[in-house]
Amino acid sequence: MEKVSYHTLRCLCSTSEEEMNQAFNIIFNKYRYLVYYVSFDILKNEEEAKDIVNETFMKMYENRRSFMSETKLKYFLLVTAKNLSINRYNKLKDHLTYSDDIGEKTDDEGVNIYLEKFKEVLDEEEYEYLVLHLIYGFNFREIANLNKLTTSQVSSKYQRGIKKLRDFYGGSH
Amino acid sequence: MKDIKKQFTEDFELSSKKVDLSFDVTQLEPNTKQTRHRFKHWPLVISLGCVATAIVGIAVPVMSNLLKIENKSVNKDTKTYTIEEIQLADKNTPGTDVKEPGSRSEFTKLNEVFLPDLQNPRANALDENEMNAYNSFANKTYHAIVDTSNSENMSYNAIGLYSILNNLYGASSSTLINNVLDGLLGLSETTRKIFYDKVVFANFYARENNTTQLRNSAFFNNEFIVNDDYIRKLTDFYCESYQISFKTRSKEMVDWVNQALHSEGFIDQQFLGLDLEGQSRTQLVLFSTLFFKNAWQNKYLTTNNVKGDFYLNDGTTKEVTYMTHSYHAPYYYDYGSYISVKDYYDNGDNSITFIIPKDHNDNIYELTESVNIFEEKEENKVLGINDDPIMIKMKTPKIKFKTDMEYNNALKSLGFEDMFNSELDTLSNAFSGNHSGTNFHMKIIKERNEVEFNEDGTTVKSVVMGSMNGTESVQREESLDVRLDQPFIYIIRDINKTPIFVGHVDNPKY
Repeated sequence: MEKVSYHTLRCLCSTSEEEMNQAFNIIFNKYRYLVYYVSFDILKNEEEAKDIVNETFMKMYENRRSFMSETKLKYFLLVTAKNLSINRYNKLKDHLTYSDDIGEKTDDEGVNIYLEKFKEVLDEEEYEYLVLHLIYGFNFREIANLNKLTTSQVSSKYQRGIKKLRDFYGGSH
Repeated sequence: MKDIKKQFTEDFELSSKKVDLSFDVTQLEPNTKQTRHRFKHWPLVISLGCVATAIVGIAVPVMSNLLKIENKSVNKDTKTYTIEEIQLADKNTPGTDVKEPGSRSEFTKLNEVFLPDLQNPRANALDENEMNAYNSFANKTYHAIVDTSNSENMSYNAIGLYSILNNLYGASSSTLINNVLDGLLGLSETTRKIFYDKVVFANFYARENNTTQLRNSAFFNNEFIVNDDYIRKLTDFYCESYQISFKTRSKEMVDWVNQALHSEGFIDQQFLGLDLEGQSRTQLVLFSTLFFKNAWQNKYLTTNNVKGDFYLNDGTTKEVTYMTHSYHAPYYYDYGSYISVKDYYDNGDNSITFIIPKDHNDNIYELTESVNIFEEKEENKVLGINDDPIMIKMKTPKIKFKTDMEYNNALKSLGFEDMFNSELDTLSNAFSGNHSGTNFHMKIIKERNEVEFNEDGTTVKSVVMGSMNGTESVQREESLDVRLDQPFIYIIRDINKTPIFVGHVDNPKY
């Protein structure tokens, strides 16, 4: 994936609407799926997750002056998405009737969107670490901090995931 | 591995695209000129109070006997003050400070330098031109220093010398010297500013286990009027500037350096070597300090230390203490007779590169004599099987050195003879007003370093000093065993992968 340059981060604060919109769209297009995935993983609900995507990027925009690097930006997006999703989950849990309990929706239909293809191969954590490290370039230390684990725990799980993935793709070829 | 990554990314995006994710940018509040101004100049927004507080918080322990009793209006306590606080007080005290430079005031602060806040290093990748220019500078100066000195366990603060030479650029009144400086530093004056901004933002932070602080200063003697244009150029390159009486206040320089390096007694007045009497007197001293104290990402345990032989260059051996640990690295470099392998610091971005021969019979300095050790060649990169990370089993000697180096001969060999010639006036742009009959030239550029590798991490304390005189007339895993048991080279890189410090270990001492 293409890097978000320092110039793009600065253009977020540009007085030129065109420049600002362009910069915002570059960041949005790169990280929207990550934010959606993180949110969906917690909420298991498409509409709620889409709402969180919107809220997360709004918060990112509110803090646009503080991002001097892509590393800081993507970490911010991830942490914000997680926190907003957890808060939303807790709020919804209190207001739902038993039949609407989101917990009930942790069936195949809720999880399938990402893990459908890999459900026989990867567990949710392995998949998450692969997405964060392989696709979005988070290092093990950042992933460990997010999940309150040690770097070695993340590294081991990631290694297992990569091995399974290699076998999976190798087998399908 | 690339295929797996590509395939996995495609599958991920395919899953995501089943959902329509769009954003209406019209809901975003437009930026006003004030917003833009605030962002562009955000370092200027940081008040002096915040910078001073941050420095106080890090550099100087504050001892306070404040009593928190609500009814008390007056409290007596003792505190230690930083140079910044003393200067601020001086500025506000009638009769102790005259704002005109060169007016024989004992102590005048000449500029305000806004350093980054100390929270986190800011990564901002160097572009190809910047990387090539700086690597070329580091390489030329490194080899010039190696060729003109035969110090054991030599170390060299590359970014410090770069800072000093860059700060001399504005003082130079010689076209020849400017051309040599341009050729050595590379880039244009404008692009050097952009590059240096990245360096400063990557190397000024203080956290619990990771601190790197690059700082610069210039001290002018109060015999001449300082050139305002030169001060502006120094300010652009984050160089704090002061004018003092070298005869009575030279201790300010010692205090500044020791405070910047968090190390009482790191230098003393003797190190400064000022010429205070006679026809040739010191008029300007430039400093560049580097304080690097970073913990290893994968800690060494003392219980894993072993004793072993270190193979010295003369063919004999010496018993030293080795630290051992293992970690994963994505790659290393194999150059045939020697390898280059990285270890990492706790913030995950700073790294140290070890360059060592494969065979005890080879000498690393001979092998790298005509090589740019700061460039990493892609064709020599070795990845793990199927691009899996490689297990590195590292054995590193514990070391602690203090070294002093002089760079006059090395710099002369790079074309700077005129700059050190006392019969030529080559650096007079540092001063304005009437100074005819005085030849401003460099007396000495030298460096003092203290380097320590132990189980916790790496500590580097370094000061580069440039002294100018005026004569009357600065799961199976592939694994790699690395034993640093013979002379080797180490290079410390910042989060932008800029090589900021390089050293040799010839004879480990701890």
